[in-house]
Amino acid sequence: MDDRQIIELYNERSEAAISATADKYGKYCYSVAYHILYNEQDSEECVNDTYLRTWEAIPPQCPVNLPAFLGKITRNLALNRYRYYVREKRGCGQIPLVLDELQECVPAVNSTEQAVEEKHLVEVLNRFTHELPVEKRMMFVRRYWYLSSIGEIAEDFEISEGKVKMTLLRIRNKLKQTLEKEGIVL
Amino acid sequence: MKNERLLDALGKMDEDLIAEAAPGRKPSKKAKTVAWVKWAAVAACLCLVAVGGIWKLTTLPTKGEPLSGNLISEEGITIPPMEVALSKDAAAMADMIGFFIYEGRCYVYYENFSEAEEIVGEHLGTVTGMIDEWTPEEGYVDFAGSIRGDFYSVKGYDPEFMLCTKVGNGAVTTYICNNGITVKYGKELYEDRLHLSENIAGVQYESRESWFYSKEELYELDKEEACIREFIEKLDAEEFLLCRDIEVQEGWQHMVDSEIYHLYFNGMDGTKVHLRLHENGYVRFQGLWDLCVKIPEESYAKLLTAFAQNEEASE
Repeated sequence: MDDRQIIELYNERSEAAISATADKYGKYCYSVAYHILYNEQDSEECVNDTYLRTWEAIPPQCPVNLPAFLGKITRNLALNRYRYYVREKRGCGQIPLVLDELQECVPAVNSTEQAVEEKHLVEVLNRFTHELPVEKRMMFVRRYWYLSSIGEIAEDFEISEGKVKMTLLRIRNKLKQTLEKEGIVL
Repeated sequence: MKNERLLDALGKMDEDLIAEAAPGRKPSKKAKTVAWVKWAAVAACLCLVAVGGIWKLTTLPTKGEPLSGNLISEEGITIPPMEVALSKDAAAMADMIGFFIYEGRCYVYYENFSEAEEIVGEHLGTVTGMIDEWTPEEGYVDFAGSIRGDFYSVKGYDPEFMLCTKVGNGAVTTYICNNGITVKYGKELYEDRLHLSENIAGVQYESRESWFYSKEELYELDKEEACIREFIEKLDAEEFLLCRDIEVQEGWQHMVDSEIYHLYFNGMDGTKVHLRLHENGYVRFQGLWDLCVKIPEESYAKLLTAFAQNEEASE
Protein backbone atom coordinates (compact mmCIF):
# COMPACT_ATOMS: atom_id res chain seq x y z
CA MET A 1 0.00 0.00 0.00
CA ASP A 2 1.22 3.47 -0.83
CA ASP A 3 2.34 5.58 2.14
CA ARG A 4 -0.16 8.28 1.24
CA GLN A 5 -2.94 5.70 1.44
CA ILE A 6 -1.74 4.60 4.87
CA ILE A 7 -1.71 8.20 6.10
CA GLU A 8 -5.18 8.63 4.64
CA LEU A 9 -6.35 5.67 6.75
CA TYR A 10 -4.95 7.39 9.85
CA ASN A 11 -6.76 10.56 8.89
CA GLU A 12 -9.99 8.60 8.47
CA ARG A 13 -9.38 7.04 11.92
CA SER A 14 -9.48 3.60 10.35
CA GLU A 15 -7.76 0.92 12.41
CA ALA A 16 -6.62 -0.63 9.16
CA ALA A 17 -3.94 2.07 9.31
CA ILE A 18 -2.21 0.16 12.12
CA SER A 19 -2.18 -3.17 10.32
CA ALA A 20 -1.04 -1.51 7.09
CA THR A 21 1.79 0.19 9.00
CA ALA A 22 2.73 -3.04 10.73
CA ASP A 23 2.65 -4.92 7.47
CA LYS A 24 4.85 -2.46 5.62
CA TYR A 25 7.15 -1.05 8.31
CA GLY A 26 6.92 -3.43 11.26
CA LYS A 27 10.17 -5.14 10.41
CA TYR A 28 11.97 -1.83 9.93
CA CYS A 29 10.74 -0.45 13.28
CA TYR A 30 11.66 -3.69 15.00
CA SER A 31 15.17 -3.43 13.61
CA VAL A 32 15.52 0.14 14.92
CA ALA A 33 14.34 -0.92 18.40
CA TYR A 34 16.36 -4.12 18.49
CA HIS A 35 19.64 -2.32 17.79
CA ILE A 36 19.06 -0.32 20.94
CA LEU A 37 17.53 -2.91 23.25
CA TYR A 38 18.89 -6.23 22.02
CA ASN A 39 15.82 -7.94 23.40
CA GLU A 40 13.00 -9.38 21.31
CA GLN A 41 10.15 -8.80 23.72
CA ASP A 42 11.16 -5.24 24.55
CA SER A 43 11.64 -4.47 20.88
CA GLU A 44 8.20 -5.82 20.00
CA GLU A 45 6.62 -3.77 22.75
CA CYS A 46 8.39 -0.69 21.49
CA VAL A 47 7.09 -1.30 17.99
CA ASN A 48 3.53 -1.69 19.32
CA ASP A 49 3.95 1.55 21.25
CA THR A 50 5.15 3.17 18.04
CA TYR A 51 1.86 2.29 16.34
CA LEU A 52 -0.07 3.80 19.22
CA ARG A 53 2.00 7.01 19.18
CA THR A 54 1.58 7.24 15.44
CA TRP A 55 -2.18 6.81 15.82
CA GLU A 56 -2.15 9.68 18.31
CA ALA A 57 0.09 11.84 16.12
CA ILE A 58 -1.69 11.53 12.77
CA PRO A 59 -3.71 13.70 12.46
CA PRO A 60 -2.83 16.49 12.99
CA GLN A 61 0.66 15.59 11.81
CA CYS A 62 1.12 14.52 8.23
CA PRO A 63 4.57 12.96 7.77
CA VAL A 64 6.34 13.53 4.50
CA ASN A 65 8.46 10.44 4.98
CA LEU A 66 6.46 7.81 6.83
CA PRO A 67 9.23 5.25 7.56
CA ALA A 68 11.58 7.91 8.93
CA PHE A 69 8.70 9.33 10.99
CA LEU A 70 7.99 5.87 12.44
CA GLY A 71 11.69 5.21 12.94
CA LYS A 72 12.11 8.40 14.95
CA ILE A 73 9.26 7.45 17.28
CA THR A 74 10.62 3.93 17.69
CA ARG A 75 14.13 5.18 18.38
CA ASN A 76 12.89 7.58 21.08
CA LEU A 77 10.75 4.92 22.73
CA ALA A 78 13.56 2.37 22.66
CA LEU A 79 16.08 4.86 24.07
CA ASN A 80 13.69 5.76 26.90
CA ARG A 81 13.22 2.11 27.70
CA TYR A 82 16.95 1.54 27.54
CA ARG A 83 17.56 4.38 29.99
CA TYR A 84 14.98 2.95 32.33
CA TYR A 85 16.79 -0.39 32.37
CA VAL A 86 20.24 1.09 32.57
CA ARG A 87 19.45 2.82 35.85
CA GLU A 88 19.56 -0.61 37.40
CA LYS A 89 22.32 -2.18 35.42
CA ARG A 90 24.37 -1.33 32.37
CA GLY A 91 22.64 -2.58 29.28
CA CYS A 92 24.04 -4.46 26.37
CA GLY A 93 23.80 -3.60 22.70
CA GLN A 94 25.38 -0.71 20.89
CA ILE A 95 24.39 2.18 23.18
CA PRO A 96 27.35 2.09 25.60
CA LEU A 97 29.75 1.84 22.68
CA VAL A 98 28.06 4.62 20.74
CA LEU A 99 27.96 6.87 23.81
CA ASP A 100 31.68 6.33 24.33
CA GLU A 101 32.30 7.27 20.73
CA LEU A 102 30.11 10.37 20.94
CA GLN A 103 31.97 11.48 24.04
CA GLU A 104 34.88 12.18 21.68
CA CYS A 105 32.74 14.75 19.86
CA VAL A 106 31.89 16.79 22.94
CA PRO A 107 33.66 20.14 22.53
CA ALA A 108 35.97 21.44 25.21
CA VAL A 109 34.33 24.53 26.75
CA ASN A 110 34.69 27.25 29.32
CA SER A 111 32.57 26.40 32.37
CA THR A 112 30.79 29.76 32.29
CA GLU A 113 29.29 29.19 28.84
CA GLN A 114 25.64 28.24 28.56
CA ALA A 115 24.45 25.04 26.96
CA VAL A 116 23.14 25.52 23.46
CA GLU A 117 19.43 25.23 22.67
CA GLU A 118 18.57 21.81 21.30
CA LYS A 119 17.02 23.33 18.19
CA HIS A 120 20.29 25.00 17.27
CA LEU A 121 22.24 21.84 18.00
CA VAL A 122 19.96 19.83 15.72
CA GLU A 123 20.37 22.43 12.97
CA VAL A 124 24.15 22.25 13.18
CA LEU A 125 24.10 18.44 13.21
CA ASN A 126 21.79 18.35 10.20
CA ARG A 127 23.96 20.76 8.26
CA PHE A 128 27.10 18.82 9.19
CA THR A 129 25.55 15.50 8.13
CA HIS A 130 24.16 16.86 4.86
CA GLU A 131 27.60 18.18 3.91
CA LEU A 132 29.32 14.81 4.31
CA PRO A 133 29.99 12.82 1.11
CA VAL A 134 27.17 10.37 0.55
CA GLU A 135 28.97 7.23 1.66
CA LYS A 136 30.34 8.78 4.83
CA ARG A 137 26.97 10.35 5.52
CA MET A 138 25.19 7.01 5.26
CA MET A 139 27.81 5.37 7.45
CA PHE A 140 27.49 8.12 10.06
CA VAL A 141 23.68 7.85 10.13
CA ARG A 142 23.83 4.05 10.28
CA ARG A 143 26.05 4.19 13.33
CA TYR A 144 24.60 7.09 15.28
CA TRP A 145 20.96 7.06 14.27
CA TYR A 146 20.29 3.39 13.58
CA LEU A 147 22.88 2.26 16.15
CA SER A 148 24.06 -0.41 13.72
CA SER A 149 27.14 -2.31 14.81
CA ILE A 150 30.47 -1.77 13.07
CA GLY A 151 30.24 -5.31 11.70
CA GLU A 152 26.83 -4.73 10.15
CA ILE A 153 27.96 -1.54 8.47
CA ALA A 154 31.10 -3.22 7.15
CA GLU A 155 29.05 -6.05 5.72
CA ASP A 156 26.48 -3.79 4.11
CA PHE A 157 29.08 -1.46 2.63
CA GLU A 158 31.32 -4.36 1.64
CA ILE A 159 34.36 -2.94 3.38
CA SER A 160 36.44 -4.04 6.34
CA GLU A 161 35.50 -3.20 9.92
CA GLY A 162 38.79 -1.36 10.24
CA LYS A 163 37.81 0.94 7.43
CA VAL A 164 34.43 1.65 9.02
CA LYS A 165 36.08 2.46 12.34
CA MET A 166 38.63 4.74 10.70
CA THR A 167 35.98 6.56 8.68
CA LEU A 168 33.79 7.08 11.74
CA LEU A 169 36.76 8.30 13.76
CA ARG A 170 37.51 10.93 11.13
CA ILE A 171 33.87 11.99 11.01
CA ARG A 172 33.75 12.32 14.80
CA ASN A 173 36.88 14.44 14.78
CA LYS A 174 35.36 16.62 12.10
CA LEU A 175 32.12 16.87 14.05
CA LYS A 176 33.97 17.95 17.14
CA GLN A 177 35.76 20.66 15.16
CA THR A 178 32.46 21.81 13.67
CA LEU A 179 30.75 21.99 17.04
CA GLU A 180 33.65 23.96 18.49
CA LYS A 181 33.70 26.29 15.50
CA GLU A 182 29.98 26.89 15.94
CA GLY A 183 30.55 27.61 19.62
CA ILE A 184 28.29 24.74 20.65
CA VAL A 185 28.22 23.92 24.35
CA LEU A 186 26.54 20.70 25.34
CA MET B 1 25.35 13.08 29.93
CA LYS B 2 26.65 15.40 27.23
CA ASN B 3 27.12 12.50 24.89
CA GLU B 4 23.52 11.42 25.60
CA ARG B 5 22.39 14.90 24.65
CA LEU B 6 24.25 14.50 21.39
CA LEU B 7 22.66 11.09 20.85
CA ASP B 8 19.21 12.61 21.41
CA ALA B 9 19.89 15.52 19.07
CA LEU B 10 21.10 13.09 16.41
CA GLY B 11 17.78 11.31 16.85
CA LYS B 12 16.06 14.43 15.51
CA MET B 13 18.02 14.59 12.30
CA ASP B 14 16.27 15.24 9.00
CA GLU B 15 14.08 12.44 7.77
CA ASP B 16 15.64 12.36 4.33
CA LEU B 17 18.97 11.48 5.96
CA ILE B 18 17.33 8.69 7.95
CA ALA B 19 15.57 7.29 4.91
CA GLU B 20 18.71 7.48 2.79
CA ALA B 21 20.74 5.38 5.23
CA ALA B 22 18.11 2.76 6.08
CA PRO B 23 19.68 -0.66 6.69
CA GLY B 24 20.14 -2.56 3.48
CA ARG B 25 20.77 0.58 1.45
CA LYS B 26 24.22 1.15 0.07
CA PRO B 27 25.79 4.13 -1.61
CA SER B 28 26.16 4.05 -5.36
CA LYS B 29 29.75 4.98 -5.91
CA LYS B 30 29.86 6.08 -9.52
CA ALA B 31 26.82 8.29 -9.71
CA LYS B 32 28.06 10.02 -12.83
CA THR B 33 27.15 7.11 -15.08
CA VAL B 34 23.92 5.64 -13.81
CA ALA B 35 22.61 5.67 -10.31
CA TRP B 36 22.94 1.96 -9.84
CA VAL B 37 26.26 1.35 -11.51
CA LYS B 38 28.04 -0.07 -8.50
CA TRP B 39 24.97 -2.09 -7.63
CA ALA B 40 26.48 -4.52 -10.04
CA ALA B 41 28.42 -5.74 -7.08
CA VAL B 42 25.17 -6.63 -5.43
CA ALA B 43 23.51 -7.64 -8.64
CA ALA B 44 26.14 -10.21 -9.25
CA CYS B 45 25.15 -11.86 -6.03
CA LEU B 46 21.57 -12.16 -7.15
CA CYS B 47 19.83 -15.09 -8.62
CA LEU B 48 16.39 -15.36 -10.07
CA VAL B 49 14.53 -18.61 -10.11
CA ALA B 50 11.21 -19.56 -11.55
CA VAL B 51 8.89 -21.15 -9.03
CA GLY B 52 5.30 -21.68 -10.05
CA GLY B 53 5.82 -19.25 -12.89
CA ILE B 54 7.03 -16.42 -10.70
CA TRP B 55 10.60 -15.24 -10.81
CA LYS B 56 11.97 -14.73 -7.40
CA LEU B 57 14.82 -12.52 -6.42
CA THR B 58 17.33 -13.35 -3.78
CA THR B 59 20.86 -12.79 -2.65
CA LEU B 60 23.43 -15.47 -2.22
CA PRO B 61 24.26 -16.22 1.39
CA THR B 62 27.33 -14.91 3.09
CA LYS B 63 30.03 -17.19 4.41
CA GLY B 64 28.77 -19.95 6.62
CA GLU B 65 25.23 -20.04 5.32
CA PRO B 66 24.07 -23.14 3.49
CA LEU B 67 23.51 -23.11 -0.24
CA SER B 68 20.82 -25.19 -1.83
CA GLY B 69 21.30 -27.32 -4.90
CA ASN B 70 24.27 -29.22 -6.23
CA LEU B 71 26.93 -26.65 -6.86
CA ILE B 72 29.94 -28.71 -7.68
CA SER B 73 29.92 -31.59 -10.13
CA GLU B 74 32.18 -33.18 -12.70
CA GLU B 75 31.12 -30.48 -15.14
CA GLY B 76 32.19 -27.69 -12.84
CA ILE B 77 30.46 -25.19 -10.59
CA THR B 78 26.86 -24.28 -11.21
CA ILE B 79 25.63 -20.91 -10.01
CA PRO B 80 22.67 -22.10 -7.98
CA PRO B 81 19.16 -20.77 -8.25
CA MET B 82 17.83 -20.03 -4.78
CA GLU B 83 14.20 -20.12 -3.80
CA VAL B 84 13.32 -17.10 -1.72
CA ALA B 85 10.12 -15.12 -1.99
CA LEU B 86 10.28 -11.77 -3.70
CA SER B 87 9.91 -9.78 -0.51
CA LYS B 88 9.17 -6.10 -0.34
CA ASP B 89 12.74 -5.49 0.77
CA ALA B 90 14.03 -7.40 -2.20
CA ALA B 91 11.65 -5.50 -4.45
CA ALA B 92 12.98 -2.21 -3.13
CA MET B 93 16.49 -3.43 -3.79
CA ALA B 94 15.55 -4.66 -7.20
CA ASP B 95 14.50 -1.12 -8.09
CA MET B 96 18.17 -0.26 -7.90
CA ILE B 97 19.56 -3.18 -9.85
CA GLY B 98 19.62 -3.45 -13.59
CA PHE B 99 18.33 -6.81 -14.70
CA PHE B 100 15.79 -8.34 -17.04
CA ILE B 101 14.54 -11.71 -18.15
CA TYR B 102 14.72 -13.00 -21.70
CA GLU B 103 13.99 -16.50 -22.92
CA GLY B 104 13.93 -17.76 -19.35
CA ARG B 105 17.36 -16.36 -18.52
CA CYS B 106 18.12 -13.52 -16.17
CA TYR B 107 20.55 -10.91 -17.46
CA VAL B 108 22.19 -8.74 -14.82
CA TYR B 109 23.95 -5.41 -15.25
CA TYR B 110 27.63 -5.81 -16.06
CA GLU B 111 29.28 -2.60 -17.32
CA ASN B 112 28.61 0.64 -19.15
CA PHE B 113 30.75 1.33 -22.21
CA SER B 114 30.90 4.90 -23.36
CA GLU B 115 31.84 4.46 -27.02
CA ALA B 116 30.65 1.07 -28.07
CA GLU B 117 27.63 1.55 -30.31
CA GLU B 118 29.25 -0.64 -32.93
CA ILE B 119 28.74 -3.71 -30.76
CA VAL B 120 24.96 -3.29 -30.77
CA GLY B 121 23.44 -6.15 -32.75
CA GLU B 122 19.96 -7.32 -33.54
CA HIS B 123 16.96 -5.92 -31.69
CA LEU B 124 15.62 -8.76 -29.55
CA GLY B 125 12.86 -7.21 -27.49
CA THR B 126 11.71 -4.56 -25.08
CA VAL B 127 11.86 -4.79 -21.32
CA THR B 128 8.51 -3.70 -20.02
CA GLY B 129 9.29 -3.03 -16.36
CA MET B 130 9.50 -4.41 -12.90
CA ILE B 131 8.26 -7.71 -11.71
CA ASP B 132 6.06 -6.95 -8.74
CA GLU B 133 4.01 -8.69 -6.14
CA TRP B 134 1.03 -8.62 -8.52
CA THR B 135 2.71 -10.84 -11.06
CA PRO B 136 0.20 -13.65 -11.59
CA GLU B 137 1.24 -17.16 -10.69
CA GLU B 138 1.00 -18.26 -14.28
CA GLY B 139 2.73 -15.01 -15.13
CA TYR B 140 4.74 -14.76 -18.31
CA VAL B 141 7.81 -12.99 -17.07
CA ASP B 142 9.98 -12.74 -20.16
CA PHE B 143 10.74 -9.07 -20.82
CA ALA B 144 10.17 -8.22 -17.18
CA GLY B 145 12.97 -6.50 -15.32
CA SER B 146 14.07 -3.53 -13.28
CA ILE B 147 14.85 -1.49 -16.39
CA ARG B 148 12.69 -0.45 -19.31
CA GLY B 149 13.48 -0.21 -22.98
CA ASP B 150 14.82 -2.03 -26.02
CA PHE B 151 17.55 -4.58 -25.74
CA TYR B 152 19.86 -6.05 -28.35
CA SER B 153 22.33 -8.82 -28.98
CA VAL B 154 26.01 -7.92 -28.69
CA LYS B 155 27.97 -8.52 -31.89
CA GLY B 156 30.49 -11.29 -31.44
CA TYR B 157 29.02 -12.56 -28.17
CA ASP B 158 26.63 -15.38 -27.45
CA PRO B 159 23.20 -13.88 -26.75
CA GLU B 160 22.68 -16.53 -24.11
CA PHE B 161 25.53 -14.87 -22.22
CA MET B 162 25.50 -11.16 -23.05
CA LEU B 163 22.93 -8.62 -24.23
CA CYS B 164 22.92 -4.83 -24.24
CA THR B 165 20.82 -1.70 -24.21
CA LYS B 166 21.58 1.67 -25.78
CA VAL B 167 22.11 4.49 -23.34
CA GLY B 168 22.54 7.38 -25.79
CA ASN B 169 25.54 9.30 -27.15
CA GLY B 170 27.04 6.04 -28.35
CA ALA B 171 27.09 4.52 -24.87
CA VAL B 172 25.97 0.96 -24.31
CA THR B 173 25.06 -0.93 -21.17
CA THR B 174 25.83 -4.63 -21.15
CA TYR B 175 24.00 -7.32 -19.22
CA ILE B 176 25.21 -10.84 -18.70
CA CYS B 177 23.47 -14.02 -17.74
CA ASN B 178 25.46 -14.95 -14.64
CA ASN B 179 23.14 -17.54 -13.14
CA GLY B 180 21.99 -20.94 -14.20
CA ILE B 181 25.40 -21.46 -15.82
CA THR B 182 28.02 -24.09 -15.14
CA VAL B 183 31.73 -23.40 -15.52
CA LYS B 184 34.78 -25.42 -14.61
CA TYR B 185 37.90 -23.74 -16.00
CA GLY B 186 38.62 -20.05 -16.44
CA LYS B 187 38.76 -20.54 -20.18
CA GLU B 188 35.03 -21.30 -20.30
CA LEU B 189 34.32 -17.78 -19.12
CA TYR B 190 37.27 -15.72 -20.28
CA GLU B 191 37.73 -17.21 -23.73
CA ASP B 192 34.55 -19.07 -24.69
CA ARG B 193 32.24 -16.32 -23.49
CA LEU B 194 34.32 -13.14 -23.23
CA HIS B 195 36.91 -13.80 -26.01
CA LEU B 196 39.55 -12.18 -23.83
CA SER B 197 42.82 -13.15 -25.55
CA GLU B 198 41.78 -12.21 -29.07
CA ASN B 199 40.22 -8.87 -28.17
CA ILE B 200 42.76 -6.94 -26.10
CA ALA B 201 43.39 -3.36 -27.21
CA GLY B 202 44.87 -2.14 -23.95
CA VAL B 203 45.39 -2.97 -20.30
CA GLN B 204 44.66 -0.67 -17.37
CA TYR B 205 44.49 -1.10 -13.63
CA GLU B 206 43.73 0.89 -10.53
CA SER B 207 44.01 0.29 -6.81
CA ARG B 208 41.04 -0.90 -4.82
CA GLU B 209 40.95 2.52 -3.14
CA SER B 210 40.91 4.36 -6.44
CA TRP B 211 38.03 2.20 -7.66
CA PHE B 212 36.09 2.44 -4.42
CA TYR B 213 36.28 6.22 -4.21
CA SER B 214 35.96 6.69 -7.98
CA LYS B 215 39.31 8.45 -8.09
CA GLU B 216 40.01 6.95 -11.51
CA GLU B 217 43.76 6.80 -10.88
CA LEU B 218 44.26 4.44 -13.77
CA TYR B 219 47.62 3.13 -14.87
CA GLU B 220 48.35 1.66 -18.29
CA LEU B 221 50.32 -1.47 -18.89
CA ASP B 222 51.70 -2.77 -22.18
CA LYS B 223 49.44 -5.58 -23.35
CA GLU B 224 52.49 -7.38 -24.75
CA GLU B 225 54.17 -7.61 -21.36
CA ALA B 226 55.11 -11.21 -20.67
CA CYS B 227 53.49 -11.09 -17.24
CA ILE B 228 50.14 -10.16 -18.82
CA ARG B 229 50.26 -13.05 -21.26
CA GLU B 230 51.25 -15.42 -18.48
CA PHE B 231 48.47 -14.10 -16.27
CA ILE B 232 45.83 -14.73 -18.94
CA GLU B 233 47.23 -18.18 -19.62
CA LYS B 234 46.84 -19.08 -15.94
CA LEU B 235 43.47 -17.38 -15.71
CA ASP B 236 42.21 -19.66 -18.49
CA ALA B 237 43.84 -22.81 -17.17
CA GLU B 238 42.82 -22.67 -13.53
CA GLU B 239 39.63 -24.17 -12.13
CA PHE B 240 36.93 -21.98 -10.68
CA LEU B 241 36.53 -21.95 -6.93
CA LEU B 242 33.60 -20.80 -4.84
CA CYS B 243 34.48 -17.54 -3.11
CA ARG B 244 32.62 -18.60 0.00
CA ASP B 245 35.07 -21.47 0.41
CA ILE B 246 38.10 -19.20 0.42
CA GLU B 247 39.52 -18.67 3.87
CA VAL B 248 39.54 -15.02 4.77
CA GLN B 249 41.50 -13.24 7.45
CA GLU B 250 40.07 -13.31 10.95
CA GLY B 251 37.46 -10.60 11.39
CA TRP B 252 36.71 -10.21 7.69
CA GLN B 253 33.26 -10.98 6.44
CA HIS B 254 34.02 -11.72 2.86
CA MET B 255 36.95 -12.00 0.52
CA VAL B 256 36.08 -8.54 -0.80
CA ASP B 257 38.12 -7.27 2.15
CA SER B 258 41.22 -8.74 0.57
CA GLU B 259 40.78 -6.92 -2.73
CA ILE B 260 43.87 -5.02 -3.89
CA TYR B 261 43.45 -4.04 -7.56
CA HIS B 262 40.95 -3.75 -10.38
CA LEU B 263 42.33 -4.84 -13.74
CA TYR B 264 40.71 -3.87 -17.04
CA PHE B 265 41.29 -5.51 -20.39
CA ASN B 266 39.94 -2.96 -22.83
CA GLY B 267 38.59 -4.70 -25.90
CA MET B 268 39.12 -3.71 -29.52
CA ASP B 269 35.33 -3.78 -29.86
CA GLY B 270 34.78 -1.17 -27.13
CA THR B 271 33.92 -3.65 -24.36
CA LYS B 272 36.10 -4.43 -21.42
CA VAL B 273 36.79 -7.35 -19.13
CA HIS B 274 36.85 -6.09 -15.57
CA LEU B 275 38.71 -8.25 -13.05
CA ARG B 276 39.02 -7.86 -9.31
CA LEU B 277 42.37 -8.93 -7.93
CA HIS B 278 42.72 -10.16 -4.37
CA GLU B 279 45.54 -11.05 -2.09
CA ASN B 280 46.95 -14.56 -2.41
CA GLY B 281 46.28 -14.77 -6.14
CA TYR B 282 42.50 -14.88 -6.19
CA VAL B 283 40.85 -13.24 -9.19
CA ARG B 284 37.18 -12.60 -9.79
CA PHE B 285 35.32 -11.40 -12.84
CA GLN B 286 33.17 -8.36 -12.10
CA GLY B 287 30.13 -10.04 -13.60
CA LEU B 288 30.50 -13.31 -11.72
CA TRP B 289 31.10 -12.43 -8.15
CA ASP B 290 30.70 -15.76 -6.46
CA LEU B 291 33.48 -17.53 -8.31
CA CYS B 292 37.19 -16.95 -8.50
CA VAL B 293 40.32 -18.59 -9.80
CA LYS B 294 43.61 -18.77 -7.99
CA ILE B 295 46.57 -17.68 -10.08
CA PRO B 296 49.79 -19.53 -9.14
CA GLU B 297 51.94 -17.52 -6.78
CA GLU B 298 54.84 -16.94 -9.14
CA SER B 299 52.71 -15.64 -12.00
CA TYR B 300 50.69 -13.43 -9.70
CA ALA B 301 53.81 -11.98 -8.13
CA LYS B 302 55.15 -11.09 -11.58
CA LEU B 303 51.96 -9.17 -12.36
CA LEU B 304 51.94 -7.30 -9.05
CA THR B 305 55.62 -6.46 -9.45
CA ALA B 306 54.90 -5.05 -12.90
CA PHE B 307 52.12 -2.94 -11.36
CA ALA B 308 54.47 -1.60 -8.70
CA GLN B 309 57.27 -0.83 -11.18
CA ASN B 310 54.82 0.82 -13.54
CA GLU B 311 53.42 3.03 -10.78
CA GLU B 312 56.92 3.96 -9.71
CA ALA B 313 57.90 4.88 -13.24
CA SER B 314 54.76 7.01 -13.64
CA GLU B 315 55.54 9.12 -10.57
